Amino acid sequence: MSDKIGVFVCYCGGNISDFVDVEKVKDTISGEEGVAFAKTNMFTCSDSAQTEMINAIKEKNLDGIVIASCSPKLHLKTFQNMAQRAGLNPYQYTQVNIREQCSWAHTHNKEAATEKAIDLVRAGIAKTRNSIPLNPLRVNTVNQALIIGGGISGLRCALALSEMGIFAHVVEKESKIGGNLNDIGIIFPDHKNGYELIEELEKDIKKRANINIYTNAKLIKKQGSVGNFECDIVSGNEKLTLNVGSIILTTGFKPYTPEPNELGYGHPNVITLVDFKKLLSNNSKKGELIFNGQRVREITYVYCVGSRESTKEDGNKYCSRYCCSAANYTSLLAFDIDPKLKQYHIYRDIRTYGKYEEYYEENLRRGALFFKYDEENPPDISSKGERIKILVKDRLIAKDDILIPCDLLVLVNGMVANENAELNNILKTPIGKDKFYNEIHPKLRPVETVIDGIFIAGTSQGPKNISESVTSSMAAASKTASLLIKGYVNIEPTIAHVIEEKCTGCKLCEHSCPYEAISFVNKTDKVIADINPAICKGCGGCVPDCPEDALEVLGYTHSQINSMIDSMLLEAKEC
Amino acid sequence: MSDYKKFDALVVGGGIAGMESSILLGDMGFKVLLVEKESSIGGKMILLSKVFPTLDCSSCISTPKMAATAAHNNITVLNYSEVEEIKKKEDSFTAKILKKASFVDPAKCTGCGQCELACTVPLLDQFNCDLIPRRAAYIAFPQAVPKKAVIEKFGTSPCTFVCPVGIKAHGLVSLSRSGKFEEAYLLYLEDSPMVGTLSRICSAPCEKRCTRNQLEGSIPIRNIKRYIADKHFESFPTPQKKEPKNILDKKIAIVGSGPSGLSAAYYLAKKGYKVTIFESSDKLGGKLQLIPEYLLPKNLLDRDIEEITSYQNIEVKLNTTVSSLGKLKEDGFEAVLLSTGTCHDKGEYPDVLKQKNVIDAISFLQNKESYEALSSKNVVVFGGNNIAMHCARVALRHKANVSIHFEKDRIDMSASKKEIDDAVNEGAKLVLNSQLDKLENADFIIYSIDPKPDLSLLKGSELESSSLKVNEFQQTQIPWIFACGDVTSGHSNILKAISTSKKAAFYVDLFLNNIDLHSEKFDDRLPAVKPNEIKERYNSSFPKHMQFLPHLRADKLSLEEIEQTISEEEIKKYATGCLDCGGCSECHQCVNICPANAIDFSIRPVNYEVEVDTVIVSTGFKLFDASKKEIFGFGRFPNVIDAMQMDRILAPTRPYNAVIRPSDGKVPSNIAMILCVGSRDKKVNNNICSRVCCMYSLKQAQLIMGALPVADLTIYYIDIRAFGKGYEEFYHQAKEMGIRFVKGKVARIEEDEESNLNLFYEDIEEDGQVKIANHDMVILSVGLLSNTSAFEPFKDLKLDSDEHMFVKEVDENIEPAKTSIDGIFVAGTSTAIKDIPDSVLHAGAAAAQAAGYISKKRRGL
Amino acid sequence: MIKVNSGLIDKIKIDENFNASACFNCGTCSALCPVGFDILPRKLFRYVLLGDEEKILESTDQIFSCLLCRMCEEQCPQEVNITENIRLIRSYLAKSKLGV
Repeated sequence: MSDKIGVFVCYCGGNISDFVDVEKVKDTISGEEGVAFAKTNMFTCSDSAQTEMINAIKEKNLDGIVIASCSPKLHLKTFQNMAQRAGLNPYQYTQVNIREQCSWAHTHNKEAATEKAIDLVRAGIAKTRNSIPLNPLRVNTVNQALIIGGGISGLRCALALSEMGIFAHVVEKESKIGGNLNDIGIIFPDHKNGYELIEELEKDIKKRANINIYTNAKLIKKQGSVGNFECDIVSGNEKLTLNVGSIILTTGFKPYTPEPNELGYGHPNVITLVDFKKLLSNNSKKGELIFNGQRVREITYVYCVGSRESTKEDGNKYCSRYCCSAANYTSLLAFDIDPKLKQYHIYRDIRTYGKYEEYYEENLRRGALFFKYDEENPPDISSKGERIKILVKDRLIAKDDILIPCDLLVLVNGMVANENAELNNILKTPIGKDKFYNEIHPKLRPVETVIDGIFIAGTSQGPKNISESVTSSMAAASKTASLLIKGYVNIEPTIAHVIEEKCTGCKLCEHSCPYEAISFVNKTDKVIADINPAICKGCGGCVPDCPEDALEVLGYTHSQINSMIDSMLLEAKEC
Repeated sequence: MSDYKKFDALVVGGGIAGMESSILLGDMGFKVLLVEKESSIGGKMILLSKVFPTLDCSSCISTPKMAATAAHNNITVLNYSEVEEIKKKEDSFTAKILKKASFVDPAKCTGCGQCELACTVPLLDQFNCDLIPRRAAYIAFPQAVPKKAVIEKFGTSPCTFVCPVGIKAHGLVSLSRSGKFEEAYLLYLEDSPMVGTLSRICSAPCEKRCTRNQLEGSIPIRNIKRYIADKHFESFPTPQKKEPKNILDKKIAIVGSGPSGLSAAYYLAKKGYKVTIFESSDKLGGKLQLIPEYLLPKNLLDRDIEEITSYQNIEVKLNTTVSSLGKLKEDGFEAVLLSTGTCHDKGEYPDVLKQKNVIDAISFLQNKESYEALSSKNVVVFGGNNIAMHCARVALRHKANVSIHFEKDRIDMSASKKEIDDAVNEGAKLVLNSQLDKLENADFIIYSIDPKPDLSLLKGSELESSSLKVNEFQQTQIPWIFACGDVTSGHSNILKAISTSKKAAFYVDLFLNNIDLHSEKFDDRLPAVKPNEIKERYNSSFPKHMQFLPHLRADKLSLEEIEQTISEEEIKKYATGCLDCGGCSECHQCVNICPANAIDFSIRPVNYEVEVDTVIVSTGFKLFDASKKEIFGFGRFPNVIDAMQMDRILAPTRPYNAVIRPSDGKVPSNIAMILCVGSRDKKVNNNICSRVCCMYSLKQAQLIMGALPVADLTIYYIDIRAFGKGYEEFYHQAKEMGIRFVKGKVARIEEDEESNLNLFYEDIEEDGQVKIANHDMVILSVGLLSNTSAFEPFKDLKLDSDEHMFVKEVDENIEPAKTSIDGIFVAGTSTAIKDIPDSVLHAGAAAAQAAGYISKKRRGL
Repeated sequence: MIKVNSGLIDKIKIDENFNASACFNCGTCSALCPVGFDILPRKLFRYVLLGDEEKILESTDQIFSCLLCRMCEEQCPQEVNITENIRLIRSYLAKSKLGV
């Protein structure tokens, strides 16, 4: 219980104060029961404001604080750490969101928004009054990681982990490792063949004792939580259980397959970029590019196939990022084989970002011709025997119709997420609208998921090229290391709690837990529910199922919630 | 931080990549030293408004990272510091780091910001892209971590540096500029007494060194000082009695009350000593009393002297001649300061002058009764020093016919040019190469030679000799006897008198406290700023200012003061010409106001040397300077701004409280954005794409549309590169907000009379016509270039760069973040421009590389 | 409708200096041209690259109106040798079509 509460209301540099009268909120709640100190701040999260709060806590012996600012998603940890530095139990601090849930939602009525903010803060104060100190649980971690997907991202991640002293298990569903890189042909910037990179990594992996690779393997069961997962995998005919501290998903992508007749797909002379790359790699005749026994003289590329589909129902709205650079580089590879080739590129935007711009420039310099089309007016593909005829409304000459005849049409196909239905069912990994794995925060936490201990990297998180995939997989390795190297993790104590006197052992709660954290034990003279703290996520799903109100979540107890409701309805009560 | 330490990793640069890699390594248990050149970490990200594609507030997502970095147990942040050199040492690295002098003690500073409000020197605010000024004493920005003030001082301003007395000329000017005249008077008194007298007769070496001297003419510092003095004396016709807090029980005797003796008394009395001034005549002031009233009014001199004698611990003994130094010691004086000045000995005159009507110059100036007799008489003044000029000009004022004779050429005359010119302009005839015995037609002859040091007191003592010698501490051969002023140097000027007395007082103080005189430095000031440094800061284009026009009395030949004090308004106007050469002017307003006593101008840069196992270079990027693309008019047309400036205008800690355009503060209604300024352009030597500009332009466009719902916004592009996760959807969102997209890069911008802009472009997709669009504000989406200062610490070691001067990654596909030096890694935009999520990922890869490298080293491989 | 005929380039190109293909269609040159014909110079080069001989012939007057002032070339981000290219096109026209 707290009866010396400090309340800090934030201006958020205008984000709150533009729409809520912050001073009025502070003035109104300073008289609330239990409030010993109230203050406003311009940026509560800033270093100096935090130092001031720590001083206030220490000097005034505050035993609880309420911070009314933005969403706990942003600064819950920041302020919990601050409370700890001040000697206050972090669970006697309540975050009240008066920004996303107040100022930003009600930008047109300052008076009403202010009243709402006052109610919200009052509720926060009530909750804090009823709070008790809680201490995190310490769970020992295993210094091993499971990497699902043995493509370049998975392999490089394993090497990075191994270098840092963490045992890496790589589970690959195919019979050989390497993923998409095996067939990719020659890649930029070093002009090596994709499989050469895989061979390089494989050589290094073989030298190490702390990397295990399982091919023809998949994950069939997962139990446990961050720091200590028990994963059952089946590899060929073998079944094994791996005890790992974290799981990294590097399941890669699959190239988009155009539908029959989509831009002429189905005609023998219409192929995807991926297939074209293979053709180039296998071309043996010097000075000539041969396709189906014939010399190719004119090639056309159509970009954005299977990407940027904003008008198509259930289409892939995203940009596949790597294809503009890849197509331009491929065009250069083709020129290398036969400099007399005529190459035509039909694009929507040329997205050769960064230094990949130089491939586009080189391509132009060598004589490739570019045409711009709109999504609303895609090129019209027709054929006459083996000759393809493309009619495009070229935006570069203000919508003139241009007829491009060619021998080979290459559809620059994008990336599509692998379905991984079984895997996703087991892990319950969050999936975004674009069907790739979803990270917690795209800006600052690009490899973490909402599930503690499960990381995503490489193209499973979104389209990217090889160096970007490897970079992200090494970032995932870093995150894993920062998690596991200490040897333990602290688990949030805001987990479910059984009020033993009330529990009748009816077992209705058993099936409400998605994590299977509830079991039943004998306690003196009755059977009651028992929560496994390492597994329980504190989701609160079991709480409403109990007919006796015997379940509550610590930090959100019945008394706390009831007091919040009461204080929010204070005015209504008085009416 | 102690002088030498060992860390596992050194991270150079505290932007988002530097912070991310530091936190990751810190979480893994490694000890990290993060060095940041600005006073706060946060890099460029903290300055942004919102970020794409989520439109999160940039401050909101970076401040927790900044706080986490600063609060992390394993991370030490060294701010306001630069890594000067990184060398290999066996199997690790040593780094030399320079912590710049901030003049603020961070342990005491609370970040309250009072110093910033009190500071009188404006400089351009680099955190607001030079859109607004900030002060020399400043806190980087409101969300700064650490939130501590720093004071920017490039060196001592030339005017202050050249003053022999050490008066803070720049401080006086900056205070006057802000109308703080009383504060200026008090600042002056910190270094020297006799404000009024010096404001009249100082030769003003400060003005000769003033940087504006190379332009329209120097700032009239001495005239500004006049105003300060006059204003103070108007408010305080008599000084308040002063009593220092701790009166020391030590007595010091000062013999002679000329300017050096009086000043020495002042300095020593301020320190708390009991000072007794012995003066043989009936007035204090020495030779200052001889200066004619038209240059130095008597009441001013008297008031200055009163200011000194108002110290209750100064005792004045007029009409008292000291005959024996030994007796002074017996009387309890623990130290004696000889400042007896010079005297004139009639016996030394040439024989030819032993006639009735020859008066020696000094007697002439002393005996005012004789002046009436000069009327209409022919007066010959023989001599070439200032005293001679004074005599001539006094005679002129009493209606005499005056000629000045000198035995050699004009160039040999020791009088100041101004004095000679003024005398001639007032009507004196100048006769050069004249001979004393050939003088004709002279009713009166006034004879002026340089007086010699008055050593009469030394007769019979150990020090008796033809001249009084002092060492560098103004100390004679007898340790408790010091000397200063003309008695040591011969006839000189008031500046030398006061400066030697200041030095003497400093060393007498040390002497009386039994401190070795060699151990402390008298002049510990920062070296003067060099002229080319000042020029560089102003980009060789100094703002124009007006020339100084002195106010002079019209009827020059009166006995009243010739020079007049100018008005307060004019003073302020002249003071605004100050270029603030040294940055901070040391006006001490911050010192006075700091509630935590945190400001300390004796702080100097500190060198640290650390040993580290690995280094991560994360020094970020630089923006393309849009003025290089002259055809867009950036820097010429006020309403053409660049994207960083726009982001600042939109940021929560923005310079203006709304989106307004610079020329007239009008809210723009028809805005244009031009992409690819400085990128994809061989003409400015940057043919590659800067990756983030399309996206930040879409972001800004959306924010502007949100802030100005009725405005029209057009984006002129070559390609729209929205390639990342969520970016294409963001582009779509922008289109739906009604933002107009035109394919056709703007080729040229011209300004019309209303400061609106005409953009010339080819409307490629529409009809291919060349069009001119009129907009009221234009934002240039500038590209991002490499920050080549990343290479500076690598002098012996060679850090490879790529063709675009970024730090080279040796194998980007398999070994991201790895450089050409084993053990040195690179994170973020130092290696190639990238957006924030890619920088965060890259920092993760760098951390993995660094951690792997250290672990491998420790395994002994 | 234009049918792409990439053979035209080879006829016009005398040496590597004819680098019209480096153009990435930003439109800077056209917007700077003081003469003010739409077709100069970006669209002209595009027609040449596409091989639309008819269009080029139609535009003979405009092609010869170019002042060769280089205002476009000064700012071309891809360093296309615009004036040299125009000269080569003129030379081609003169020889092949105008019988010079």
